[in-house]
Order: sequence, then C-alpha cells, then structure tokens
Amino acid sequence: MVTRLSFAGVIARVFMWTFLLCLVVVVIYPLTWMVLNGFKTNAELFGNPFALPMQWDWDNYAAAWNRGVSNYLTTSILVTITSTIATVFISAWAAYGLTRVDIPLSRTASTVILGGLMLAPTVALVPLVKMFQSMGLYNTFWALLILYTAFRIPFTTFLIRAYMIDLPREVDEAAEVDGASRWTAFWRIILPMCRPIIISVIILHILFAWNEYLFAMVFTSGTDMQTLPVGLTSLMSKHGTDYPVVFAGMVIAALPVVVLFFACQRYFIKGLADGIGK
Amino acid sequence: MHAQRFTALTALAAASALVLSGCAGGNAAPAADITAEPEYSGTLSILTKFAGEPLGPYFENLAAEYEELHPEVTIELIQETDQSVKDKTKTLTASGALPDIYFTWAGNWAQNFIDGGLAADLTEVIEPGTEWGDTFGEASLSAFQVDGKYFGIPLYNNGKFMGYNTKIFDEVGIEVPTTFEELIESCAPIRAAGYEPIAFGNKDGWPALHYLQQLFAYNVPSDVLHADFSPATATLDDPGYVTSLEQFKTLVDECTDTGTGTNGVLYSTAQEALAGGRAAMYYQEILEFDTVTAEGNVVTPEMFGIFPLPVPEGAKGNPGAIEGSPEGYLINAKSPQAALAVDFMKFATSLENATVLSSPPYGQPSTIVGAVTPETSSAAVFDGITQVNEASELIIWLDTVTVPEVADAWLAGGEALISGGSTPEQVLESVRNASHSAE
Repeated sequence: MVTRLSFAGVIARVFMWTFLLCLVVVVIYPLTWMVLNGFKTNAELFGNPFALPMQWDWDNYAAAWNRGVSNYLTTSILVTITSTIATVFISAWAAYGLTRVDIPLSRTASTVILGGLMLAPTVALVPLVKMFQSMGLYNTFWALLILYTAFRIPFTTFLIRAYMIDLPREVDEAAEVDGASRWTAFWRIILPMCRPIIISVIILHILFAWNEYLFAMVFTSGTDMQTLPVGLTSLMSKHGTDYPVVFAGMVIAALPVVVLFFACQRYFIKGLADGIGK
Repeated sequence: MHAQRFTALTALAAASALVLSGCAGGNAAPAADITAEPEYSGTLSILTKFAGEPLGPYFENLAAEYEELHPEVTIELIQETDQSVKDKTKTLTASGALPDIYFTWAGNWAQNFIDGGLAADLTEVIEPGTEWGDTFGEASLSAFQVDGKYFGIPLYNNGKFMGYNTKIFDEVGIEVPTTFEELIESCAPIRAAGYEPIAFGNKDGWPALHYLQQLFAYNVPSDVLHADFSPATATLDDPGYVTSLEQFKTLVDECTDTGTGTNGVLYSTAQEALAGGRAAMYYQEILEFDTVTAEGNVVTPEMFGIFPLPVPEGAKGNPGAIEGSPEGYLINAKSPQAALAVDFMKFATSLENATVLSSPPYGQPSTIVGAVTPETSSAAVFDGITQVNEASELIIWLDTVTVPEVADAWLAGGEALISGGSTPEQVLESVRNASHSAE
C-alpha cells in the first residue's frame, strides 16, 4: 500500500534529512581534513589548508611512526586492554559481593567504594607520585595499569551494581539448589546475565584509558612508556612543528578506536542502550 | 539516619586516607656538597625540556656517552616538552621527588626554586673566575645570579629578533628600518606588493609580551624597569609604558593582516607565513631561525636576515638592550648525588658537546664561549647570538621575569590591547592593580 505524504510531511522529511546530512558533514569533515593533512607538507598545510594534497605519499605517516608513535600505540593498546580486563573483572566481582552475597557491613563497603567517585585525580596526584616513587613504580607500565584500574573501579562498580541489584534473587537460589558454588554462580549465571552493562562499562573504560592524559603525563616519560595522548604532544615543539606529521600521528592514534567501533558497532549501540539506559 | 551518617563518614575517612597516606613520611636527604669528589656510581635523574624531535636525542646521546665513561652510573632521563615540563616540575616538586638535575627558565621560575632552597648554590664551581665558570659567557651566568650567588647552569642562549625575507625587501625596494617609525612606514609598500608586512599570532598570549618587553626596554629607563618587575618596588607609572603600548597597538593595526583578530592566530601560523614566503617579517627567537629556513621552506638561509626591533625615536630607555635570556639547569639542593650532577653538567657543557648542541639538527646556541661559530651554526644564528653577546643589556621575557599574577595581567592586557577591548591606560591600570595585589 502506498501512502501519500502530506506537504507538511515532505517538508519535515526534507528538514530532517538536511539536518542529518549537516550532522554527518560536521562529524566526518574534520576527520577527513585530518587524514588529508597527513599527506601534505607544512607549506601546503598553511598555504592551502582546505585543498587536496599535491602528492599522496606516506612519508609523514612513516615519519610519525618512526618518531615514537609505534611505541605510544603499543603502550596505549597494552594499558587499555589490561586495565579494561582488571577494572571490569574486579568491579563485577565487587558488585556481585555487594548485591548477591550477605556480608557484614556491605552497605558501608558500598559507600566506601562509591566514595572513590568523589576523589578527583588531581587531588591525589602529589601523594601518588610520592608513593609510586618510593615503590619503584614511577615511569613503569604498572603505574598506569594500577591508576587506571583503581580510579575507574568506583564508577564501574556503581554501574554494574545498579544492574545486578535488579536481577531476580531466584536465580541465585536455583543455582544454589543445583549445587553451584559462589564462583560458578557468578561466572556462569550472573555475569552472563549482566552482559549489556558489561559491554557498556568495557566501552566506557576503553574510551577513558585510550584518551587519558593527566596520569600518563605525570607518571610516565620517554617514548618507551608514554601513551598516545601524551606522546603526540612530543611531536609538537614551541620552535617549529611539522604539523602534517602530527596529523599523521593523530590518524594513527584514532585508527584503532575507529576500527573497533565499526567492528563492534552493534555491541556499542546495544550495550549502551541496554546497559546504562535500561 | 545514624547508620547513613556512619557510612558517609566512613567513606570520607577512606577517601581522605587514600590522599593523606602519600603525604606521610619524607626523605631527609643531606644537603648537596657540590665540591666533593664525585662518586661514579648510582643513579642520576635529569628532567629536561628536550622531548621529541629534533632535540630528544641530545640528552639521550649524552647520557649514553657518560654511562660508557662511568659504567657504574645510570642516568634516568625524564624528557618533557615545552608544554608539559611546567606541570611535571610542579608535581615532582610538590611530591618531594625533584630529580638531581632539572630544567629551568631564567627569572621568576628559577627564583622560586632558589627561594625555596631547592637549587644548590653553585658559586664555588661556576662563578666567573673559576675554571668551569670561565667557559661560559658572563651575561649568561648572571641570568641565574641572586644576591651575588650563582645557582644555574645556562645551557643555551636566546634572543628576540625580527626575521625578514631579504628577497621581498629587495623586490619592494626598502632597506632594513633603523627606527620603529621607519618599520611602521615600511608596512604600506610591502602590503601594496602583495605580502603581509609582519606575520603575528598571539593565540598563546606570550608573543605580544615579547614585543612589549622589548619596547619597554627601549622606552622605560633601565633602573625604573627593573624596579617595576618586583611588586615590592613597582610603581609602573613611567610614561614609557603607555608609549610602548601605543606603539605596539600601531604595529598590530598597521603592519599585520590579522589586526584585531591576531589573538586567534597561532604563533606557528605566523612563523609559517614567513617560511612560506607570504609574509615579509616575523618577530622570532634565535631558536626558531633554523626552523624558518629549514629544507622544503620557500625561505632559504640565503634569503633570511635579522635585525633587532628598531628603537623608537626619542626613546628614554636603553637602546642597546635585547630581549632574551638563557635557559638552563639547576641542581637539586637536596640531592645526595650533587657532586656527580655537577660532573655530568660539566660534561654536558664541554666545548665539544656544546658545539654539538649549537649545530644542526639541534641548533640551540650554546652559552659556552667558542661553541657557536659560522662553521657550526647557520649565519643567522651566529649573527643573532653575536648580537646577544654584544648587547649592553639582556632583558628577560616579561612573562617569566615578574611574578605570575603580574605576568597574567600583562598577558590579558596584551590580548585586550590587540582586540581593542582596552586602551593602553586601562591595560597599565590593570597591571598596576595586579602588582599591588601581589605585593
């Protein structure tokens, strides 16, 4: 059956499509501009910032890669993966204990963990540097792993706890009747039921760890240990910056997250919709 | 209600414990003995401002060579950029984890460490007349001199000059201006020939202060200017200030294409306008000379010339003053490795290593006498550093020579003047207020 749209309906659709197209341009154009400028020279970039590159060679991308971006990328990937696993696992286990197990002072424990949300990273910076220096963790991979995990546990636990608390108690009782241990009930039953929120917190943690700047800037130095956000600033100098190389570095930095997004787009949208927006 | 309050207090206590636990204790380190015979063992930590290309490898190579000479010594480098070194230094200072050797600017930044007892007094080893001290230019050493004591090790020198495209000057048929008024007059014919007379970007605020400080040095008597740097003695009422601010505003309005929109332009955009042959002049530091004439740029070393910002007619200050100052390193007064730190810095400032620092790709004009020569450095860098060494007075950057509150007022004032938001008198009044508050 063909429905005839009213004139107002057509106008509304035109406006909607125009708006959406504008939105696409606003999002895509800066990214495209960044990629294109990675192919230019400094003179081209400043002379004709919006023109297409004169040559399509990969020199700037190779230069960025050789100037430390390969190291920054490796560190960023490792820190992001390990801290995501550690944070999500510890938070999920904590949320399980707080919501599904009768333990003394569980409300107090909840408040203490959630109290961590109130602790601004900048406030803790100075004592943390002192502690990490004395422990020999300063400028190590472990420093970032511990910090990224510790500072995200309160928020992640808060989200998973809010989801777990609504799961029916009968599930635990049924598992117990079937002889499942606490670990089995958590690993085989509760955790799979929390899949939407787990996906959501994984996404949020990846975005946090990939883009975090303050801790990475203060607790690391040198190309071997720095992450992408800090390392990319090393490509810029007060007395002369090869901007196309910086743009190339930014493209390399953005690529893994963009690829991850397209590969897991379905989970991203569904995870955020089902998890946080439940 | 009671239970809720208890849990809230518990949470607060836990969070506080997390913060405070790191504050407990402290390292009671012995005072630095810089004259002791160095023990060539242990770890030496160094905070540099040389992260990234092309400067990054300089200290890495130095460290590797020093470790090879002294196998028992390990050098721990913390390399930061111009942007991140401030935050890193502040955090390390606050946490009592300042490295054995650390970067510093001259002026108020170094003064804070000296006043705080965090910089070792190096007078015995570096003052003029000592073996090491005599290898430095005396003006460079005096940049880190306080109350007759020498605290800093100047590594490289710097100064501000107007860089110009000689080809455009020839094409337009103008000579290098000898007065500020001639400079302003030269802008119209340059613009008529299709070029931007002076490229200027003030997005970061400090480029305006570089113009202002040089004009202050020309227009305000030297003793008054120096007294005005310190809030305790500042009056900031010399008519030379308003004259300088007016001259600066004239330059922005008459000689830049960006005019009142200059605050939205990056200094690097301006630098690139000269390097790309689109602008005739750009006011820049010696450290930028080799970047402007780097391979691939329209402006080649042969097309590049420099001159100090011309002196205004009838100026009552010091016409021979050049704005600039060395950047260098301090040694942690609490470092148990102070003698070794001094030994490393002697190695870093040897003529051989100083020459390497002054040559491409580093191009940082060393403060060591004889390190910058026409053979090792580009003609412009050699010319610039010669003029700095011959200047009757070196005036430190306005944003580092005074206290942060006053520097911030100057930054805001410079921006307001460019945009037309404030008159010279209003800018000076706001700086005066900031100085009174800081007093």
